[in-house]
Amino acid sequence: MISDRQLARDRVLPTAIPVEPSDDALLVLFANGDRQAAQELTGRLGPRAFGVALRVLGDRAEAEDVAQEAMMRLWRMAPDWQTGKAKVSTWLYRVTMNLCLDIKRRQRGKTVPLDRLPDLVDGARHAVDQMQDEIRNDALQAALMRLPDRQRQAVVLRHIEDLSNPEIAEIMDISTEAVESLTARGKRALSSALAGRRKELGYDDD
Amino acid sequence: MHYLQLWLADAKNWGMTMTDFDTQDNLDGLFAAAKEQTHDLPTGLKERILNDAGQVQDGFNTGLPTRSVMPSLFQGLRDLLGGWPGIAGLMTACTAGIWLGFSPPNVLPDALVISGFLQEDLDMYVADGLAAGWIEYSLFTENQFAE
Repeated sequence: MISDRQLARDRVLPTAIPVEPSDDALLVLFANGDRQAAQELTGRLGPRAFGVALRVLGDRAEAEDVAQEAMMRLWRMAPDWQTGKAKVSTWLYRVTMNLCLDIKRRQRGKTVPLDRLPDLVDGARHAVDQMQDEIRNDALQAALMRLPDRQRQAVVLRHIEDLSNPEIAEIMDISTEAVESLTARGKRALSSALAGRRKELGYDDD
Repeated sequence: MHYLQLWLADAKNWGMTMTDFDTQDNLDGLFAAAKEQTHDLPTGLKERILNDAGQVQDGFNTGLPTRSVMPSLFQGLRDLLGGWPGIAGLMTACTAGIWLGFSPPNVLPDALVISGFLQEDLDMYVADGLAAGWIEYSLFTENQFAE
């Protein structure tokens, strides 16, 4: 016979779910001098800035520079941040995208070094040694790099970063309709660029 | 013959559409794989970012908290009034009202006249009030001395 007291003692109480502070709150803490807030924000937002810059620029060194500069602007802006007005991540994406555009504008007119672009032939050459996923990823990246800058940004933000069209519109400072148009055209261009490579990418065997 | 050409053209278009659609599906697969790929911060980059953060924080010279994590009451009131422009408008209106109260222009009638008082009534009211108060004070002091 199990007493009620025994039942009560053995009952598994739900553990408290830790509530993580929002990016907003962390930014205010950072502005108040909290070092731990800098660690937390770097862990949350740094990979996003770096990842999206890497996708858009296709160059690791440039992506690192852009991510560092974007985060630096975040730190400097912290005391002036208005809580609840906008998402910190949206602000950071916007800064990152603008920095990427600046780099692309500076490069325009110059010859793009071929070794900086992920080479399709090169990817195929190492097919034996590389995982199929890596080849596909390289192919996608190469096709992305052949898109116009704004189309590439919209496609990356929509289909890889998984952001909503209104948020992308805010980031890119354009209308939602313009975002839809850019992503649609970008996908069509990617589709035609990859159309002849299905066998190489292993899709014919699927 | 004509129909055959149309059919062939349709078949060709259909074939292209199928190829594009097929690739579109594959494209979604590529996007899905790219989404799963996480880009960890390179160690050197993370250190540089944190170093920047430390330097910027030192520049803030924060001995005391500069801002509260929670929005303040003033911030809420400010938002309610429509931000700084709303507050500025309210302050201008208040200042103008106080100024008009102290120094009304000649074109405006006296506020007492508007409310139905005449100057004689006011004088009488003030005089009555003072007189009544004096009488009450006198009676009070007389009674006190009598006790």
